Amino acid sequence: MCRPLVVSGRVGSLVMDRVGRLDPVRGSGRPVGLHKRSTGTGAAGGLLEELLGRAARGDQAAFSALYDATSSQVFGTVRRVVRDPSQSEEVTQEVFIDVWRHAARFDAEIGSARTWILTMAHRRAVDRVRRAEAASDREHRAASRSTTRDYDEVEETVERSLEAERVRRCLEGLTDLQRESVTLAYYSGYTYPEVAQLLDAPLGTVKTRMRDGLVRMRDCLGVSR
Amino acid sequence: MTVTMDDRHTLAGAYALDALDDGERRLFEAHLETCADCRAEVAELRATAAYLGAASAVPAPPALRDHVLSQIARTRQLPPPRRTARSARGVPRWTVNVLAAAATVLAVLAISLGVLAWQADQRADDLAAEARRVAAVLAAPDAQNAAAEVEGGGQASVVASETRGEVVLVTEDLPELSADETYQLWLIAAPDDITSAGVVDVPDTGDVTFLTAGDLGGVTTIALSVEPQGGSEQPTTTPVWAAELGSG
Repeated sequence: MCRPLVVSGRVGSLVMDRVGRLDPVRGSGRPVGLHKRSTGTGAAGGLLEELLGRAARGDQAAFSALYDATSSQVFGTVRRVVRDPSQSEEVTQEVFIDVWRHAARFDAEIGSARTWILTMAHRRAVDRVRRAEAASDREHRAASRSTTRDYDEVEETVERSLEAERVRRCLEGLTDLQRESVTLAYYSGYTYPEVAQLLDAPLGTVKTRMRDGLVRMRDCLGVSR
Repeated sequence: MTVTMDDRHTLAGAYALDALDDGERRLFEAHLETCADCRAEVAELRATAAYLGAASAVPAPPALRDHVLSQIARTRQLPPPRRTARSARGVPRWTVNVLAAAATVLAVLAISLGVLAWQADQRADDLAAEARRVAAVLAAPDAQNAAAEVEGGGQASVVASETRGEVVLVTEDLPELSADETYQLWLIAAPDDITSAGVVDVPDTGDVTFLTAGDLGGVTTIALSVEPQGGSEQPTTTPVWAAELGSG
């Protein structure tokens, strides 16, 4: 529960944040801004929040530091859903333009900067695949995709960090139906009725499992906001 | 029509995972505006979902950094949100919106009632009766207002009274529909608890005052969708207008 160490070797420059902890400014292994420190409204005190606040006032250097600290998380989130590398790049670019444009609207009372950014990233990624697939037969899509692919794939693509390990362990602590409901929605961008169809489970059950699953993940990860 | 709080809250997980389609998402967001507990839960579940994303981190292609940075250099930033949105602690934004909207509703209704009264003089007593019913809904102690812009143009407002079991819809400049389409009003207690409040016949002007009866127990949102002529059992399209009820 204390600070996760970066296991991958991708950490570039390190800076001390004001609590005196080491934060990687480049690279993504470290979950900057979303660990114990982000309890309640404390998120406002994080490095990312400070960078975002400066970016909101037009500080491009702060924005590029923010980009360096979050781009692999954004790109990874988007790529999980969108799959296609060049489209993932496009979406990632859109996300960061959005972050820049809307920086002044970030509200630390609601959540951390990382949550804010990754929420935008995921929403955009999901919008992209749903728009692209709206014309094609969604049922066919749902039926033809493998249900296990995404969870298994964590192994090969992900930068290894203790945080990723923790997420994996917590996912393993869910029931099968909870885990599949959560990962098919988040990593494959399916709506809950599509997930229900894929898992051959009633709608209500899937809705409930998504919530229960996330709640259990929340408790396992010790997330507050 | 009994919907426990839990039914509505279950969607928090699907919402945090972006697993709702646009229509349901909008309805759930309307619900969030009025439910502080739900907002708190959603904030936590969103933070949890962000962990799933963060755990998938993959280095972004280096060229992307230059693209992004050169693009933001020529992108104008949006101003901070207006202070009214969250200035008054404890007064949720929708209350401010609803109060502002209430003024509009009253103004529009005053005109509509005038028109109704005039028509009543001209034609039949039943119109006068309808005008009285509209007035009675508006005057009901438990009257709730909601107003919002309609997607595609125009405005719509409702006043609803649960004790009277009546809803008044007032529209302005609604977009004209093709001959095989119609507007239909829906009473929504939860995304899976939606009741039709009738097909709304909107004249070419796009302005109508529509009075209908309906069980409002548990209803939190009133929505208007475009349906095939004759109406549908359940909405078949994303509502062009949805408004959360609040006490006016």
